[in-house]
Amino acid sequence: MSLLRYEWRKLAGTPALWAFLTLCLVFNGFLLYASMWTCREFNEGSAIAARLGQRVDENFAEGCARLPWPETSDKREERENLLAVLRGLEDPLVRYDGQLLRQFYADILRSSSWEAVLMDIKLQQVERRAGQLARTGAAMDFFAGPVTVEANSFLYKIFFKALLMEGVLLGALSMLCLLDHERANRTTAALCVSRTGRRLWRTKAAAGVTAALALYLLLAVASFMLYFALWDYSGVWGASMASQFNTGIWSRSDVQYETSRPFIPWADFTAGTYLLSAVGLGAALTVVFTLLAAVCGILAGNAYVSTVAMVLLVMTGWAAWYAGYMGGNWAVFVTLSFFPTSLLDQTLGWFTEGGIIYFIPWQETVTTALWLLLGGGGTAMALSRFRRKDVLT
Amino acid sequence: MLSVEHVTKRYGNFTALEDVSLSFGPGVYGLLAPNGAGKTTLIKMLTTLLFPTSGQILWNGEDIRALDEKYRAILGYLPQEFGYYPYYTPRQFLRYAAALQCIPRREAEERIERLLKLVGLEDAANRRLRQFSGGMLQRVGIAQAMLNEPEVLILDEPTAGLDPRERVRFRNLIHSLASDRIVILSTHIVSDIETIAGQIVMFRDHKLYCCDSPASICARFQGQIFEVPAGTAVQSGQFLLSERQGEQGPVARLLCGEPPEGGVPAAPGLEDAFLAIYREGAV
Repeated sequence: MSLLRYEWRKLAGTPALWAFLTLCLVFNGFLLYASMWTCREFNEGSAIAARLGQRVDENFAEGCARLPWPETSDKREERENLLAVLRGLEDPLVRYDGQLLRQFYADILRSSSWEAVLMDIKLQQVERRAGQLARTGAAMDFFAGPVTVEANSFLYKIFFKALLMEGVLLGALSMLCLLDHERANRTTAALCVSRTGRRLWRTKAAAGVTAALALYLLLAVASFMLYFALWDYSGVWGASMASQFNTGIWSRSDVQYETSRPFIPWADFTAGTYLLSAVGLGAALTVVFTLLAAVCGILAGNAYVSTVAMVLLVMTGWAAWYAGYMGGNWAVFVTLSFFPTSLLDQTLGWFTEGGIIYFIPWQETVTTALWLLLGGGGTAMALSRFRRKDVLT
Repeated sequence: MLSVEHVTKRYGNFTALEDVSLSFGPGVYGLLAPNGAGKTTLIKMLTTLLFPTSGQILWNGEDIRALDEKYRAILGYLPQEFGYYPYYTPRQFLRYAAALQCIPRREAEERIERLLKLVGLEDAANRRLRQFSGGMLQRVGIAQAMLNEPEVLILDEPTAGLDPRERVRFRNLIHSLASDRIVILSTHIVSDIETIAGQIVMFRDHKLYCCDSPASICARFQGQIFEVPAGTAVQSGQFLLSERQGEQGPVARLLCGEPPEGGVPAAPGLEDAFLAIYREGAV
């Protein structure tokens, strides 16, 4: 059996990890239960899209009018409202005015600052992207109708965010468990004196990262199996994320810098590809935090100290970022928005302009790639230091 | 040949070992010193767990730090506190140790069977380690240290926590292993190495005090050990080493240059030498 498999086996023999994974699944189940009302409406919208297609035009509106009418009065009223919306529907991206938005941010960020320059460059690209989307008519997709915003808010701001946090925690804990396993069992000395020696910690880091990925994917598959058992996406998979029924609100509700506006992704994402991409980026972020845990674990040599260091690192980063936002200290805010902690907070804004949260296109992807490199490099440096360091047991 | 050349180990301002030079050839070496004298520091440097602050350790003329895994491949080590995975069986644990030593699987299986038999654990090979007594665990430790058929076997306090029967068994085992390899055994229990060590290495004040045969070390105190009836007042220039039950009742063993009044000369043992060297709390 390879050393990697031995490390996985050590992890698999940690009951606390499985208990935590089970708790995460139970928690996600509760979240789903709380979304039942939205889910019912979404499924009705999805059923309409499954029968009539995604693109809203005259045929769609007529088809919708011919659908069997609901029996209850409130449902009939909802249908009437929907028909009224569909008949007057126009593509908002055709008349998209980027200039207003650029001025809006320039006022907030003080137009001479480098943050404002970055934002202005980004918004010029948003304008071009809006033009491209207008030509495809993506905003005329039905998605699941008026409930789409609420449904996507639940999916990305609550359900997926919870999944991501759980994955990140599971990943970091897995890594710290593996790195602390020998100290806890008093086997460090014997292992370091073996032929493999301190190189084993490299295997541990690799095992930690792969285990973190596997646990995240296991959690994601199990959680989304539950999710799709309730939420019917049969008519929605191909819907454009730029649908006008899917608007974005980028700011926190307590600071009204911004309001709802078109959801403009950097690529032509459908509901399916956007979800897959989000899950993929979530996996990469899980690896980032797992690598940060590896750096802390290797340098500190103790799971408890490493956990405290990780928590301090994450909380300080997030608190400073948030304080920058609340206090309007944009230099601090922009700098820290390139830290992975800031990405955990804005899961629905991924792959979009992201309002004031992001200052360059694809910032979440760039930030994740940057931190994958930094985390990998940091782990390599910590391992190299460990090989030259006294082992005090 | 394993040689230690002018090795010093410091932790900040504290010097754990100072300018130690030693050579080890095949045979059993006992590192004998009180706790805190630097035995474990030397052992950890010989096993590459610690690196010398100055000086170097050479294996056949090459620095062990540069040899890296080539050196560790010829090294067997039983740490002072032998750790294990409680949910593993000895067989599983030895398989893991074999994987760490990069021993091919088939060869490892043969060695594991042979070693389990050697340490008398063949009947317990599939029981969880958490069910094992201290002595049984120590035997697993010996087996894992022997797995790569090491040329240098280093055992740190190997008999700590063993009952007398297991200690004798352990000593016999070490004796049988020492014919063609370097065995370095660290202990502060004199009886453990008195019978099996060809050379005794002693440290005092964190420096090498001697590296000699037990007989030579004892000979240094020839004519200086006397037995007097227990309770006899200890005079200036005399040092009380120990008390024991003699044929005529309890007797005290004294270290002194001149024969005490009523004193009977006694042959110095290694324990006398140990107590004499480390008298008055010297380490």
